[in-house]
Amino acid sequence: MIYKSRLIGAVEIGTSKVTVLVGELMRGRTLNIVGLGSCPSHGVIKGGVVDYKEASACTHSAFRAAEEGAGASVDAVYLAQTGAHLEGFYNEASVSVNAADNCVGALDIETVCRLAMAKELPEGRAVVHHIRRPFRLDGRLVSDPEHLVGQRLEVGYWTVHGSEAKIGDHIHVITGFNLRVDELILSSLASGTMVTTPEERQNGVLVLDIGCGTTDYALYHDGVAYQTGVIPVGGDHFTNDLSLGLRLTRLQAEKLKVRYGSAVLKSHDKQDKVWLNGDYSVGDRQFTRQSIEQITSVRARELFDVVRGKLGAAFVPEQTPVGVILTGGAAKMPGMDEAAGKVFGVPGRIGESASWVADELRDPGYSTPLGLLYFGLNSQTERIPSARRQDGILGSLKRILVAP
Amino acid sequence: MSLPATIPPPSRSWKDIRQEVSPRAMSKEGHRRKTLAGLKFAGICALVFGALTAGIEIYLTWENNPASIKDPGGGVPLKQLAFSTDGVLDRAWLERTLALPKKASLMSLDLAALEQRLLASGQAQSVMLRRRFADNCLVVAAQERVPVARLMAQVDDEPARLRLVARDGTVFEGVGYEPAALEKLPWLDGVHLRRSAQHGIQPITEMGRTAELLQTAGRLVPDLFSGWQVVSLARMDSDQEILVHSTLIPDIVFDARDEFPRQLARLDYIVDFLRTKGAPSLQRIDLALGGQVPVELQEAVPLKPARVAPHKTVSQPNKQRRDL
Repeated sequence: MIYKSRLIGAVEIGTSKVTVLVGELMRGRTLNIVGLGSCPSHGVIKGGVVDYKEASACTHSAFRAAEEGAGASVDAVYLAQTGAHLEGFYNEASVSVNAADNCVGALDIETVCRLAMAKELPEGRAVVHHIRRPFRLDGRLVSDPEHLVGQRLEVGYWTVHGSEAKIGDHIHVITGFNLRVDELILSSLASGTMVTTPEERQNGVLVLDIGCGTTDYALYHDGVAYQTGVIPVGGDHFTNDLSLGLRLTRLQAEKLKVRYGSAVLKSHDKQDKVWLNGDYSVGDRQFTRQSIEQITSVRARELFDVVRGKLGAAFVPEQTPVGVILTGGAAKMPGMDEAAGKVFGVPGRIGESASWVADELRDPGYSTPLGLLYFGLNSQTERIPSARRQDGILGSLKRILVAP
Repeated sequence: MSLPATIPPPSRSWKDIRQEVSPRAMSKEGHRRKTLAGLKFAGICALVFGALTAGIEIYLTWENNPASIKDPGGGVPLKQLAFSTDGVLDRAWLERTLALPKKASLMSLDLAALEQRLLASGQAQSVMLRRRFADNCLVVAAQERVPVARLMAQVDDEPARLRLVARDGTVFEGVGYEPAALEKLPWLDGVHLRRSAQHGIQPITEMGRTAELLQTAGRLVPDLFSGWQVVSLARMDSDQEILVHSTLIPDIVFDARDEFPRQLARLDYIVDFLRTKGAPSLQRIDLALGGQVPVELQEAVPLKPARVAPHKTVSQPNKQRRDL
């Protein structure tokens, strides 16, 4: 029997870099990472395309590198979506079970799902995800109510929507390379799927993907993403704060941040100083370690406070026993997990990729493109249970790979 | 069952966003990929179209004229024959043997049948035929058998004709040989010829050792060999003896089981020895008795004492014999 393999490109157009991973889907079951392309990002600010040509050039360059590594052309593209334009809301619906014997049928499920998803969006907005929460049948949680007996069926959807124009910009960067976007996946969901286990998502966990220009978050309960969001604060703000506070250029501030930045104040000795360059060159200056850490720790605390504020009542520490998991390039700053733990009142840690991920891809910066491939193949969030068998070949593929 | 009519339509999704971009918005690499994709698509279309056209053409031909499918090059007649051989066969023999129709086409030729036809002559040991489409030519390359003896044979009611015998015992009518060359071949006698199914003669099975004798004699004692006129295999089956009638010695008997170089060396020695003794006329030399070599003279001649090689014995017969 001949099995066809398919090359899937996972693309993250970030503020600092564009990453393309090429995965080969073999026999519909095995996914091998066969190509990697990365390029410094231009024309992208806070996850949004501001210069189409620049953004296209670096994205296509990363694509070329990935395809050369893979030795073949990509067949389909899964694109990560981030940016402050992305918003979400919760909407739920309920129906009375139609059958005389109160046995829930496929039509009841489809009706309640469609009602819950049918909320009009403002002009110029497009849905990115409908994330379904568990069904409630007469108040009890059920994962699949079909053939169960009850009188009232309820379901809720967390709908993520974004600016049609900004989403279109991202898509057109890909289509400018003569490729089509097959799946558009929220960055936080992609990285969240990668750095957490199904058990952790079931118990309750908050995932923060701190990038260069934005921070994406996803709060999981009962195995699904209850709330997602994006704030336009990322690693760049740490650099900016250092640049303003210490009167440095952005390049110098970035260097200091990477070397001495910390999300918690560890140094209390004002005599503990560090050199800007350390090579005694003209213009080389000394700074107290404390001043650097003060600036970065304040920014880190503010970032986590903003996230906590956005989550509002949805975040309950008792319902998030697994804690906060941090990923993304800026999460590598020392003390981020500790700072997050203090703000959210739950344990914090840096997310790690699964054991099957190759060493060169274990950096937190690759969790989103890896998650795109993983999430894209396993996603069931937008599917109406009764309509599962009508969603084409990719749907069949995903059903085979569905995670428990 | 259908959904209630009150459910509003689903909201606009990202999938509703048009993915097409104007050519100006595409990068150089995007254009290159698009061109390649277009060429690939065109190639596949051309392939599918070609396959369909060929399929329809074959179907129509099959319907109208099935025979022409077997001979797709029927319209192109055979223009020439190219013949090469390592022997004496010539183009005239080839044309005569192949007997191709005048307007035969290259594709209509049954090469296997033609090969059998050429091999049936016996003179050709192997034949290779191939079509050369560049100039509509049939290329024939042959390897011939080398005759080592000749005989007269009559098949059915035909008059007796000269035939040649090859090393492997194949009997064939020699074509293209110079008469003088054939005159040098000894006659073969005392063999039982059997007819083959194709009006020919079956190969002579006893020919293997005889051919070896003839070849060895031609190489080691060419002067003596040139006088060999008849080689008889009459006593081959019973005594494993080969009898040679030559102009110098009427009867020479060889043992087919013994080594021929040694027997020929003895023969050469005896002839030389007798030549020194006045060259008496020899009647018979029997080399099939091992260390003893009886030599029969036509007339009794008193021999002068001479040194004889220790491993050879020359005995004087006490009577004269004129015939076998």
